[in-house]
Amino acid sequence: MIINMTRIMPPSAEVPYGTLDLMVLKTLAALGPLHGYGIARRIEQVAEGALALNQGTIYPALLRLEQKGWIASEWGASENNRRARFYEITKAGRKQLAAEVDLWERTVAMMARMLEDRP
Amino acid sequence: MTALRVALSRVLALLGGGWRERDLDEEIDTHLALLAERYRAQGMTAVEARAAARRSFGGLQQIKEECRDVLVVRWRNDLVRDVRVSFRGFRRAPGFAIAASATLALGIGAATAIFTLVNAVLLRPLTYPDPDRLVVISESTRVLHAFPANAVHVEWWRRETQSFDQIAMVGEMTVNVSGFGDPESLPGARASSNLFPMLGVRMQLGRMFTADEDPAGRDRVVVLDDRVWRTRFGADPQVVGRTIRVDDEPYEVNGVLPRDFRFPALRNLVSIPIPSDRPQIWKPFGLEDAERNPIGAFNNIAIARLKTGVGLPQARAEMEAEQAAISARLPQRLAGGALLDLHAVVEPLQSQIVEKSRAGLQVLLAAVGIVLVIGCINVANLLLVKSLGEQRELGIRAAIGADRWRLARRVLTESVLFGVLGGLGAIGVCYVVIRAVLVFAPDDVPRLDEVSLDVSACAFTLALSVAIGFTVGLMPAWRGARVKTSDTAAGRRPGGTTTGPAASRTRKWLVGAEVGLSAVCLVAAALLFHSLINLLTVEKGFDATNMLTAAVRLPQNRYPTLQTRAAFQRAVSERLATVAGVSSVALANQLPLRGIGASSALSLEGTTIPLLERPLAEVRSVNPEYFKTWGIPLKAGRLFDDSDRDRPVAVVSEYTATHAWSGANPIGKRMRFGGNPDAPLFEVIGVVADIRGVSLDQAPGFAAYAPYWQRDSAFVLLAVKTSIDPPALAPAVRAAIHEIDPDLPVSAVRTMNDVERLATAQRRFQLTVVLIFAGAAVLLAGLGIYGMLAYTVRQRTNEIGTRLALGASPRAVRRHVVNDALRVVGAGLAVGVPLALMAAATLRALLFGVAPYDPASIAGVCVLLGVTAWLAAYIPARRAAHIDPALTLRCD
Repeated sequence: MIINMTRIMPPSAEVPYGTLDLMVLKTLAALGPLHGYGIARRIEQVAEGALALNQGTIYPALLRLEQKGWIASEWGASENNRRARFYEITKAGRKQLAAEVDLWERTVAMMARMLEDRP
Repeated sequence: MTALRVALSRVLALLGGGWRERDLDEEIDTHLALLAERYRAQGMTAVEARAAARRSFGGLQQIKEECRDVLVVRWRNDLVRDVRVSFRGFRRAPGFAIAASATLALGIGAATAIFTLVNAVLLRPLTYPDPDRLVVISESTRVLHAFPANAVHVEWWRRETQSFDQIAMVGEMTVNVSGFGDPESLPGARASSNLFPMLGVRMQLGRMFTADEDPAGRDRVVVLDDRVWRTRFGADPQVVGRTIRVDDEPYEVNGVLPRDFRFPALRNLVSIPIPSDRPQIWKPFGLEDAERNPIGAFNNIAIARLKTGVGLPQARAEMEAEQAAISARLPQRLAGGALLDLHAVVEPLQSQIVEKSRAGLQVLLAAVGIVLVIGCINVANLLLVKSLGEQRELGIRAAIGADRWRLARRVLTESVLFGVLGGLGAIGVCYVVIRAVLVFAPDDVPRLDEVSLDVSACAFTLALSVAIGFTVGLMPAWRGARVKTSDTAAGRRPGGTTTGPAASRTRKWLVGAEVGLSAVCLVAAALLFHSLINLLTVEKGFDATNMLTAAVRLPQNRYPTLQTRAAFQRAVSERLATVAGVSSVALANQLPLRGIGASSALSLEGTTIPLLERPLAEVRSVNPEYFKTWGIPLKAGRLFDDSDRDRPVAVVSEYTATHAWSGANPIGKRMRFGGNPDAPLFEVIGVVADIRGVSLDQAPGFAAYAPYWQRDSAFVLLAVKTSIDPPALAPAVRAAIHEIDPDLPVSAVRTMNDVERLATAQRRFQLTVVLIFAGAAVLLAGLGIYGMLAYTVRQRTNEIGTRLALGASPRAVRRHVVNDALRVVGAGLAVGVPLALMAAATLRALLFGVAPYDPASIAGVCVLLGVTAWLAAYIPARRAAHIDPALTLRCD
């Protein structure tokens, strides 16, 4: 099942694609409609400096998610009154999030077991 | 729907380029601004804050590039994959791919070709400046609709009407041209000097006519058509200023018309049937004094340009008033003691030009449209059947997690690919069909030389093909997306009885529609066929076998008087009679079936009928042997002979005898030709049988015959009855004429059978094309029926096997399958026949001697389609009857 994820993983991203997608989905599911800056800020806050995120990289991720129909977007006004695109998770997105969270948890559990056995 | 929207946005990103990107730019700007604000709040200067924002955002260009890739690449990759899979499928089942693409190629190719033709002839504006302001003005009376104009009237119109910028006048003229090469008879025209400027002509060489050259006497100049300049003068640039001999008079060449100048054959500018080709040589109008007669000849085509802002209704109303004024103004004496009642017809030039071809072309367009629709239905059907066959595979794919939209898209990609392949083939087909049409089409069709397959037609063909491919793929794609994984998982065979009642109903609908549409096409073909047969077998009233015909024109300056022309005709007929193989000779001013020669009002002695409402008769100037040569029997009185040399006598047709004198015996009655009360009175001495003298489809009307020595024309049409094969006599006939006058060009030497063939050429062409299309429609409908039944039988193998096992006879099974076909055909006909009847009503103008609701044609069509269905059902029915019950029971 992990093989499935390498398919969409770019060769040398600082943040693996799958992870970033999952983080974006989770953020939107937790906080409701947000623009790109808001999403990036939230991820940075949660990571507490543990993640070297180039904020721009969330935009290709947002496009990809939107193409898959997992998020939807709409123009709105940002807090400084500029035009900004607000993203929102869709029903299909929530389903996908649930599935990915499940997969992630199982992977993490498995990895944890595997690493415990280290000599 | 999301998937569609996404696909759409990707396509737009790929094609439109950038609208989404610009959007993205704005979004990123906002992001950077928000970031910078945060850094400002942390105490940085504005410049520092912007730089920091840039840094933590990452490489701007790189990110934009990545976004672009996301927008485009995936879409492109998917497409490439789908196309590759489709091609793999084509290789696996090449027969299917070829059948589908070829059907589309033929249908679309033929449709584009015919559309190109119709577009060039009917739709595309004429190549003159502001073509929609050009009109043709015809005169009209209560009894005769739309005939050419009188020259004096045109002069009055120019002076007295306000609706037109210009009114030009064009007259028919055939001339003998010499002074370079062999003397030749050329179709030409005389035109007022304002014609060429009105049509926006820019001369290729030299100049056009000036107003100074308009009057007779100063009109000894010509302008050459590009074709004649190239063929006769070797495209000599020194031709301007040269003198050539036109009808034996010296004329100076003024200039050469541009290569792209198109002027229609004059016959296409008038509503009445006259023979005339496209003018190759032009001279100024040069109106003779003898032509200045307001009730004299009505021979001129008036082409006018409407003033800017003047509409047709306004021009029509003004012309009506003008004609009423002219009617009132005409001298009572000249009008024969009675008033004229003139009207006018103002038609756009373009619609006038195509008037005689419009109905025929529209029929072709409709027929090819029907074939195209049937072809598309067949392809849709094929795809549908194929997708049902693939349902198991699709089901498995769906079960292991394939995106449904991807499945649908694969099916759609495949059908669009058929469209692309078909479209490429269609361009070839279109090219061939256009070539064939140009070769085989009769030259009666105007503007044919403007027909060509251009880039836009090719692009249109391809776009149409892709659109059709997409459309026919929609239904199978939709079914592909709806495939039930549970069915496949439960192991139900797609060929089993659980799938398909809906699908097979759809297919029956489609096949029924095919049958209905082919019925429309067939009925049209049957009616046209019936019409042509009627026309070919119609009682012409004359005998066309073993006749060789030829034409000469006697130029005014060599044959200035009636006597000199009569002498020529006498000499020629006597000389020809001595040629071996000639049994008799007919002379006339016009051949039968070649249109109007000269039509004249018959002014019966003592009449009070208004001039233009008097019987309009086709008057032929003939020799005494004319009637014997053509086999036209005498019905009463006697024929004229040499003893009538000094007495004006005439022979009339039976129709004229009964209708002009309302039943009284016409023998001994006297009449004048035309309205001039000073013209000689001709005494009727005989009545001959009616003939179809003007055209095959025109019933015999008023006709009169006068001896050539009393009333003649510059044209002499010879018809020689031969006792040997007519074409073999052609050299002898030419030689005999040249013995009398070596300088006269002899033209149009052909057999009367060829003349007849020319007269039906347009109809035969229409019929051939419609028959080909109808045949294609039936063939496609038959294939559709076959496909439907073959698939149903395969699908119901179990059920049929069970029936056979339970004791059903193979015959009953066979009948069951055939009945299935006949039911579909019956339903198709139930819709198709009423539709065909409606369509046939629009054919009326093209029919001859057959009603649009001709029961025989309709019955024939029904039988033909029934037989087609039976033939199409034969193989599947046999297969059904031969199913081995044991085998089918075992295999499931």
